[in-house]
Amino acid sequence: MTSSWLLPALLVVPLLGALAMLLAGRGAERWATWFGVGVQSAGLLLTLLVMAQFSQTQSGSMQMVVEHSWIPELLVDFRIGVDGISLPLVVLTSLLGWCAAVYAVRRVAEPGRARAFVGLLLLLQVGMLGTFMALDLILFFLFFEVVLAPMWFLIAFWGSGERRRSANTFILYTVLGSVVMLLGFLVVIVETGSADMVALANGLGAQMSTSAQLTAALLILGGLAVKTPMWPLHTWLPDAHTAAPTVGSVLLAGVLLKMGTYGMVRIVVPTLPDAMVSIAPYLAAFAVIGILYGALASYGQDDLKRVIAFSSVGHMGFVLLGISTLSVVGINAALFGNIAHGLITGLLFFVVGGIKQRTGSTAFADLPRSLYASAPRLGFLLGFAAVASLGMPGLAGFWGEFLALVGAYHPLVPERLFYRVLLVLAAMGMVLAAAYFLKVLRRVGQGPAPETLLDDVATDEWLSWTPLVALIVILGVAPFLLLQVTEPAVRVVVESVAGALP
Amino acid sequence: MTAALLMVLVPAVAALLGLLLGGMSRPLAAAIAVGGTASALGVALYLALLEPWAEPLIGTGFGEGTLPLGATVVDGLASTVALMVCFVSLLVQIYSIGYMREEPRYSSYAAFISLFTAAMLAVVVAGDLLLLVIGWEVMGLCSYLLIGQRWEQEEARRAAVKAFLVTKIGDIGFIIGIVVLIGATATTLLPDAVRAAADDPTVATVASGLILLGVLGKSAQFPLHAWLPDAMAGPSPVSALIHAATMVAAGVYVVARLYPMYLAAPAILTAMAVIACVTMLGAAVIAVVQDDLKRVLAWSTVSQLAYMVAALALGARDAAIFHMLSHAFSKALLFLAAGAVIHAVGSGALRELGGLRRSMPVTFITMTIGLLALVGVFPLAGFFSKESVLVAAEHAAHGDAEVASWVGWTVLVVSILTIAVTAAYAQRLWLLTWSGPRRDSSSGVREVPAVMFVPLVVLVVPAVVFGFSALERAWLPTWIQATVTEPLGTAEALRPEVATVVLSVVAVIVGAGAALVFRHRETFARGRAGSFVAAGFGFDAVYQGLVVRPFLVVVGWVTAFDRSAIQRSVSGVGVGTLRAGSLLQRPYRGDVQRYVSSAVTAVVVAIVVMLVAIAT
Amino acid sequence: MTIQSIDLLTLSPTLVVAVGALLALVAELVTGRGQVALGVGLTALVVATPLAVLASGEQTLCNGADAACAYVVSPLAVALQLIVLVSTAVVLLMASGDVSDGTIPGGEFVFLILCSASGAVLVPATTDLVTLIVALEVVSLPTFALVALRRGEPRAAEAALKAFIFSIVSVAVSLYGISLLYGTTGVVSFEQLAAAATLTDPTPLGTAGLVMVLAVIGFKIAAVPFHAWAPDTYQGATAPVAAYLSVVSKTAGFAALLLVTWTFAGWSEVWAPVVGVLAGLTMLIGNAVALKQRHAVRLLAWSSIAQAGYILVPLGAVTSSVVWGPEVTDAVIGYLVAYAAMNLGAFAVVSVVARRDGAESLADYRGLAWRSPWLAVSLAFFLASLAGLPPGLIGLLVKVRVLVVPVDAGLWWLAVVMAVATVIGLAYYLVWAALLFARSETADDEGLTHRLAVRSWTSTVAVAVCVALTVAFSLAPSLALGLVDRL
Repeated sequence: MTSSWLLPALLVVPLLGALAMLLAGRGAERWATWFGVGVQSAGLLLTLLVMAQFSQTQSGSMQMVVEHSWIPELLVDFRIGVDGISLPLVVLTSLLGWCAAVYAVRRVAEPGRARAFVGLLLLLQVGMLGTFMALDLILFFLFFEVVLAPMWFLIAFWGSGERRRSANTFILYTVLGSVVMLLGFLVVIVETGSADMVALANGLGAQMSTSAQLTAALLILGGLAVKTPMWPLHTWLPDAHTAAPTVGSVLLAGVLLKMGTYGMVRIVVPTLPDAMVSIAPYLAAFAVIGILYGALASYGQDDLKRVIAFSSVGHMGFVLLGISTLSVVGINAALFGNIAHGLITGLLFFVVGGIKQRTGSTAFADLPRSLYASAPRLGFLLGFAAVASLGMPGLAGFWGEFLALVGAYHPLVPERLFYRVLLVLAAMGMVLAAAYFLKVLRRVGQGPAPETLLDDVATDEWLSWTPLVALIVILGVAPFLLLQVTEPAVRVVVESVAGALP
Repeated sequence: MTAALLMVLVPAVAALLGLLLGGMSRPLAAAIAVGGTASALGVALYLALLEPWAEPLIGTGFGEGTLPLGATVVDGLASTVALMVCFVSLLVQIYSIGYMREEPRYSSYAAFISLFTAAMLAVVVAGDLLLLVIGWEVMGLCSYLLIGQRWEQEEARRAAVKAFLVTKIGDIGFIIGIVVLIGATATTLLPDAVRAAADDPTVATVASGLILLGVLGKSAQFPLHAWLPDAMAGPSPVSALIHAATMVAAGVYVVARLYPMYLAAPAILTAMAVIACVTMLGAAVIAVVQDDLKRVLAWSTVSQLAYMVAALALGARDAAIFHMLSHAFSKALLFLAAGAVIHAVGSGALRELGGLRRSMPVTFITMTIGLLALVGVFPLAGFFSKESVLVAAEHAAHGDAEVASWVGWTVLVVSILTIAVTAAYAQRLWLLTWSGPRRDSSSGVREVPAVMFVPLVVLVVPAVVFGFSALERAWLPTWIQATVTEPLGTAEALRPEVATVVLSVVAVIVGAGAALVFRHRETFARGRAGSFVAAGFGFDAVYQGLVVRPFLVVVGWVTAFDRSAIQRSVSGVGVGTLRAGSLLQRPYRGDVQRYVSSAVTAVVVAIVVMLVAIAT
Repeated sequence: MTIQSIDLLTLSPTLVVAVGALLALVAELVTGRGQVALGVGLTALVVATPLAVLASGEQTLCNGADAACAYVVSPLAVALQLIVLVSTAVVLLMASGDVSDGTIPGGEFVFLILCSASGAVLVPATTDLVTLIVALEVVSLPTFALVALRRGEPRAAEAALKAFIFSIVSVAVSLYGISLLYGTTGVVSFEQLAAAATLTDPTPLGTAGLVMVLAVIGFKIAAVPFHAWAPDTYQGATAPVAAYLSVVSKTAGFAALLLVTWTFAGWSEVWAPVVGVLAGLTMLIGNAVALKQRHAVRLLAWSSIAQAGYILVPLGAVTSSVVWGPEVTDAVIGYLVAYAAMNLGAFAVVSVVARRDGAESLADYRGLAWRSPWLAVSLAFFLASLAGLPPGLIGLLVKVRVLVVPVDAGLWWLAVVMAVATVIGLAYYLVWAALLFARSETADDEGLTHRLAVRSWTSTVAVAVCVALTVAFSLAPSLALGLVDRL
């Protein structure tokens, strides 16, 4: 049975939705958010179909590939497909997009204008999904860039505080990163004469000279590291998160950050194995600095959103650590960590957004101390998300970090002892994460009952958040559900690196 | 799905249901909680009937090929401990119905207790290291939640965070230890990993040393003990659970579970013995000068756990488990009784208690029995279990253990001393609570309702008779000596020996006598030395200075660094670019001569440069 | 020297445009209506466009003896001519509003524009240095009058004067350069010069001459340091004229640059570094100064300076490993095509908004999206394209295509400069785009008192044409990037 229309449809549906929002008249303001839910639901259904069609036994190879020649002058083909590495991220994106759409039905941030809001969300969806499906370097880059403008609009117009400045910092910083990444891509394309990610990963890239690989890898990693964000390139993140509207934060942390680490696993590791072997220890060091730095900085923040933003730096540090081990366990850990962080931080930002909507602020100084008492269910969700985020075993957040440590015990690269030192430091990061999240809960949740109660979690909020809660628990108790999908694909990636080892 | 996994999942599901539905009505919440724990007890009984000590029950996990999770092992050891856990938890749940009558958040409270039970059971039956980690860490979470049950009070908030973080510090070691174990043995299955590690002394030493850190945290041993006394900020039934059935027992149990690996690491065993000695005597001395009923009992737990750790260090796992079980019954009994006193009087401060004997007869009798069991008076359970530890120390002193004989001697001497101190603080506690004049606050005190005192009465039974179960080889020793990781040897009965019995009886008499003699001294007026001891030898201050303050300083540095250096360098680039734009814009003021002359100059410069370039 | 044949069909694009210029002038004299002149002019351009395609590969004005022709239409030349013709047509559409309300006189305007355009059509087909310079002057001279043509604008005359002075100086320098080249080689035709350049190493006199020839091109494309006239002149002129200067005039300049660099491909070590440095300076300075602009047309002027820098990059990257050839020229042509569409589009919107709202400074664009959503969306789209940000895909892709060349050549400094410049450039396009969608602080249209009653649907058509072209290029980038191969 042919299912070649599925992946293109996954891109076309939100794109048409965005266009419809552009073309719709003022009257559409009333039904725009419902339209958004409809489109995202359709997208989610399509994603479920993709999952059904996906052959788990062959998750190591690209499936449902669609190929069209597009710009021969640039060696660019329109080529998309999914495998075990990208499918989970595609699903995550569709899911978070759906959650965001549901949340937006009644909660478009100030100043309203639902049409534009929904249209931008849908355009964002196109970029995010496309990034995870693209099998051509330039196509990947284009989709990578597509997300920028919508996210900039979301922050600059629906944000709060210093939104314009934060939005500009976000876009300029990440564009600088992606231009650097593009330079790296061009090196690869010029050297190999191909932009086909599959061919490049299957040995074409490895034929490049070591010095060319090193140049390309440093450039591409540098670009992706901005997006991830890797310490010390993280500084755009806290501001962007603080200013962004709720769904913007959710998608930013939940999906956009993943594009960086996904790019590393998808492109850098298999395409430039020789370079990766020599860069990996440095990457690992940066990753662990990020883990500790993110945790320590989180503790010092006085704003909920900033705390979570810095915690993302730490969590993504674990993902980077997993990648830098270049081992099957480590890269699996990274992919798992990506998904888990997307779910958990997505939920955290939803909940914090809920708090902000009710109290008007996320700064500790302005927040009442007694969320547990004034809105017990909201408080419970905050506690749940915080506990998941600090890496509680039995919830999704733990496995990515734990397996990254296991991977660091047996890295593929020769610097074993160095990695074991990093392992210990990274494990300390887990405790630090506990410290700042407990501080948050103590500061925001636990206080004497206030005189006025806040509105507790509403039905639409439950609807949009429950899938995240459920998946955090399910992946926490059954991590193998996800690992079974990623593992075969990761083996393929690691085999390509293993060949590069002396 | 194995029965063992079912035993874990039933209370876990009860916790989930309790959280989802419990808010609707209190009886429903109570029914779910009690029903869940009772069902778990049923499964535990069923498992025991399968005689796992003869043939361990192995359950495979899910997710074969990637990260198998949920493998279980029920051997004699696990089965016995599971029974104790379910039994105590069930009594705690029942007791809580009465104790938490006024509690607005009863449903979540009961759910967390169910989760706590589930987590402990997961540790007990874990057949893979991952399930072990899950149970281990979730327990830490539950202790945080339950100690902080009354989060309106600053004391509870602080204690909850402290409990979580201090144990979590130990868990750095635990997690790394598990990582090393998995990494070095290339398996996540617990029996396989333990067997493989036991064959490699390096791995055994590193892994058991790291895991020991976690054990010290959970079982509140020096230097990670500081959380336990503060943890009494939680409701009394929670203390009973933490001090008896879960949490602290988990640490000892995990060492027993991984025991072949520990036996392959004598250095670690020696370290354990030393730590145990310090903790044992130190905590007992601190307990003597406490002013709060539950604080005395808390320090007592720290001290008693050290007996178990000492036994483990001396190669006497069975003695350790025996003492763990007997201590669980007596300590659960004591905390529930203390809870009854607090419930009735409204305070646990010793200076507000006194003369309660008549008004609370059931509590009085049960608590007295609990104290006697704790001190180790014949024929109560504590007597036999403590004797088994002393016997092990004596054997070790004679060189019958993995560790050096001086270690055995040290443990033996310190244990005897500690018995005396234990008798002293128990005697003091008894006198201050039950005898003497009634204080103002205790007028009008009445016995607690049946739902609370029945669990006390039930607990009296094992506290009294449990000791005899080890005298016969066929009973307790056979059960707890059967583990999946070792070949099943011939079980030996855990019988007292004359020398140690004499020594301990003398110690009890000396200690209790001293407490009686000094009872007329004003107990609460202390000098600086006394305050220092009562504050845990000032350990909290050390902790503040060595850990908390440096941490906050580093946080300050990092935060400031992030705000200034990194952030400013980024915004500096932006500002710099804008400034460059202004500077570059300056020449363009419409002065056309200057435009032209600069362009011509540029052409000339370019020509000169290119000519030079070509020439060279 | 006898010219054996004159193939009128091959020459027709130039001729048709030139004749159109005259007819337009006459038409206005006869009818007295500027719009008629516009119609005539448009017709001429529309007719000339297919003729240009038909003429591809032809040559005429050949000298029988050595078969050297004075007018050779390579596919590259056709591509450039197409850019010129279509862009000029769009400029005419844009200008209809100005013509109908009398800001500019229709007949003269069309006459001058088409005169200049006929020169621009001629430039890529020339075959010797002298004709090239003459053709370039045909492009330039009418534009000074065009700038000054704006009625009721005191700055217009001054603006025209500045451009004129610059032009004079640059032409003088170039002519001097040509004489140096002629002095060293004895020839002026491109083919013979090329032959000489391949045979000999660069001589000092030749080097100086070549660098000087680049001066007039630098003026045409407004590259640093020959750019200073552009902001003042653009600002003084009407928006359609500024658009014409920034697109058609520039295209002629790049056509000349391609011819000169092709001719001296053998001396690439002389001109490539100069062009490279020129490119780097132009990108950086253009973008950095644009950051501080608060006047819409002035900002677009600096932006178009910066954009010219990008287009110079491939030529600047010609080295031993990357030779002058399709890899370089396709990048230049591709960028020019895309640039024409998006830059004209931006000017078209500015023109409409300026006429309707009297908007000049960026602040006047605040909240445009709520007054004229389509104009605002279109402008945002053009700005995104110029910045190289999706959904302006073509703007991004041509930047990628340009960037390939220095990367391939291993010319890292140029690649990095371009990367940095792109990021700086993004900033000011964003600032403007943000204003479009910002809420106006007071009630709508504050400060926009002199709304002009005259609306012109043809100006809107100009915007629509540019949107259509930019979207088409974004969906099928090969239309721009592979244009030469199709001709």
